[in-house]
Amino acid sequence: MGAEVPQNSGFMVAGYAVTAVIVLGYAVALVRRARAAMRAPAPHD
Amino acid sequence: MTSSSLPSVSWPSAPSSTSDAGFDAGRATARRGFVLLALGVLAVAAVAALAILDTPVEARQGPAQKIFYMHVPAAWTAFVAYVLTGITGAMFLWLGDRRLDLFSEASAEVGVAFNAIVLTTGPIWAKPIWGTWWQWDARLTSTLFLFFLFVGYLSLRAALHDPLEKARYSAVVGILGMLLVPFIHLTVKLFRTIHPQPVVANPDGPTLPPEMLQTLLLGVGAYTLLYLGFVTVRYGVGRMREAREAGHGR
Repeated sequence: MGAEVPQNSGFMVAGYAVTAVIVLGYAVALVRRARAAMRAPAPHD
Repeated sequence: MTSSSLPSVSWPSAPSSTSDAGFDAGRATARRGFVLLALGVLAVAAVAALAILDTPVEARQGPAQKIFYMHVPAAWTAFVAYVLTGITGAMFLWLGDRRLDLFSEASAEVGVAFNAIVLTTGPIWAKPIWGTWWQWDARLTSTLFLFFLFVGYLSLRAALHDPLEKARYSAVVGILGMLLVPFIHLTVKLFRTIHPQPVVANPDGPTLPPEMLQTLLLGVGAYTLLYLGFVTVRYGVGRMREAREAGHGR
């Protein structure tokens, strides 16, 4: 009979949540910066 | 190092048509980057779902081991980003093409974001397995210092106003940072460390079961796509900003 598998799903959820926050947070910030740069007056204006 | 010891490169004040073209090119690049970024986010989400729902639980470590499928690909892309920062920085010093400097800046920023994933998911995985959030061993400490080095790179760029000076000095820092990457990879072999040995990039071949290896490789692919999306958008932003500054500087 094998040893019991550790019950630590909370750490897995925390790891994936932190990853989602960083990836989505940076993605949203970058898209906002790009859209703001597109809206800003072009050099010839 | 003084600026006079570096090769001479010019940073001409762009004529109107050049800065207009640079702005348009930056805008087009950023738009292409939006598509890549959306695909990258979806790919990473798909790999996360695959890892959580369909990849076997590691018997000794339990579900916490599944952090591995985000932690390792993020480390891979952070290191790729830093190496490309160094290479394009060196190419800028050699060729003087400002687009290389803008790519270098973009890649460094994206590398810092991925490095942040590594430095946060690592301790969350370590706590249930090692019994501690952190150990000041060679791999963990050098990865933290690499993060600080590239935060310093971005701070240096923010602090300098002369574009040529900014590009030259940050290229040197980027090259030095790149040189740390192979050293960090070898820390688990050179030092006694609590960090596991490589499970894919080792001389005897991958040591993972096929289902786990497949999810890991899909993760590496998804994170590479995400890197391409991030760096393309960030490069486009840099080109638009530079074209606007050149236009206003006339």
